[in-house]
Amino acid sequence: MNRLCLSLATLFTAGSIFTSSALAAKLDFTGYAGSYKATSIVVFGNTVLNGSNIQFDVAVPENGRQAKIKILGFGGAASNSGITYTSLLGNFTLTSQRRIVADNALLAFFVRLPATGRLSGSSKRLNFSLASSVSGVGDFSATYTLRFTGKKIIITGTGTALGGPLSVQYIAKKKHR
Amino acid sequence: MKALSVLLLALTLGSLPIHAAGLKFSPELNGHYRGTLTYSSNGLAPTGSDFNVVVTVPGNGRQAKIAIDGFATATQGPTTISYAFLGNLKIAPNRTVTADNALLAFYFQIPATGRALGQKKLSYTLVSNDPAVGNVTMTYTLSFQGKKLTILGTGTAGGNPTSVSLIAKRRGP
Repeated sequence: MNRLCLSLATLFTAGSIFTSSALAAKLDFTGYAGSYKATSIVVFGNTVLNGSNIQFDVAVPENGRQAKIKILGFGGAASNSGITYTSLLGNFTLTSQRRIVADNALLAFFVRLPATGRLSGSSKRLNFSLASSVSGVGDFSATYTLRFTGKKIIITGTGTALGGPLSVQYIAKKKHR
Repeated sequence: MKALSVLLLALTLGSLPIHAAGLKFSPELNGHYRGTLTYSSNGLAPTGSDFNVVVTVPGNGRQAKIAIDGFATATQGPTTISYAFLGNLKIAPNRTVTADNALLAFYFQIPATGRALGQKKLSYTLVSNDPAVGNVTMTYTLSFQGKKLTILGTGTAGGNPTSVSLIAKRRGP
C-alpha cells in the first residue's frame, strides 16, 4: 500500500513538473520576422471596419526571444456619407516569457487602448486576452488566437466593445522579397 | 514683325515661373525620421512627440513619398485620449501632390491633391470637401534641411482656423 502511494506520488509529481514545464516553456519567434500585407475586419455594434491593405511589420531579434508587431493602415466603414476610412494603428510585443504588451486591446484602432496580458499555447499558436478601459472612450476586452504559419499570420478575436459584441480578424501574408 | 514675334516668344518663355521646372529629390533624403506632430483646431491640440516618418525617394530622385504615423494625445476637460494619426503624401516629378490627408495626418482619411511650388522649400495647398469634417483648405510648406524635415500647415477645417506642424529628424547617417 505504501509502495503504491509512493508510486502515485512520484507519478503525480513527475506529471506536475512535466505539465508546468510545458506551460512555462519559453517561446521562440525565430523565422517570423518580415513585412506582411493583411486584410482585416473589425466588427462592433453597427460598425464594420474593413481593411484591405494593412501593413504588418514583424521585428524579431536574432535570439528569437521577442516579436514586435506593428499594424498600420486604414479600415473603411460605411456611413451615411459613403465610406469613411479610419486609421488602424497598433504596436504589440510578444515575449518569450509569455507576456504581451499592447498599445491596443483591439490590436489596432484609431484610439489607443493600452493593455497587457499573458500568452498561452505554443510559439505557432498563441492565445491571449486583452482588456482596456479608457476614460471618455469605454471598455474593451477580447480573447485572441494568433497563428504563425511561416507565410501567414492569422489573428482572430472575440469579446466585447462598449458593452456590445466584438469580433476581430487579421489575415496577413508575408511579402515576397 | 518676325523679330517682334521672336522677342515676344522669348519674353513669354523668360517670364515662365521658375517653379514650373521639374522636381528632383536627393536619394540621401531616404530614411526613417522621428519627430513631433502638433495639431491645433477648434480648441483641441493633439500632440505627439514620437511620430515615425518614412521618406522614400527612388534612385532617379523623381518623386518623394512621405509616410507619417504616430499617436497624438489630446486633453479635453478630464478626458485624455490618444488618437492614431496616419498620413501618406506623394510628390510627383510634375509637381502634383497626392495626399491621403488634407490635414497631413489624422485619424481618418481626407484625400486631397495639390500642386507644389518652389524648389528647396516647397509650398502647396490641399483642398478637400470631406463629408465628415466639411471644407478643408490647408497651405503647407515642406523643407528638408540636413537631417531635419519640417512640414508646416495653416488653413481652415470645417470653418475653424487650423494649424499642423511636423518637425522630424532623420535617424542614422
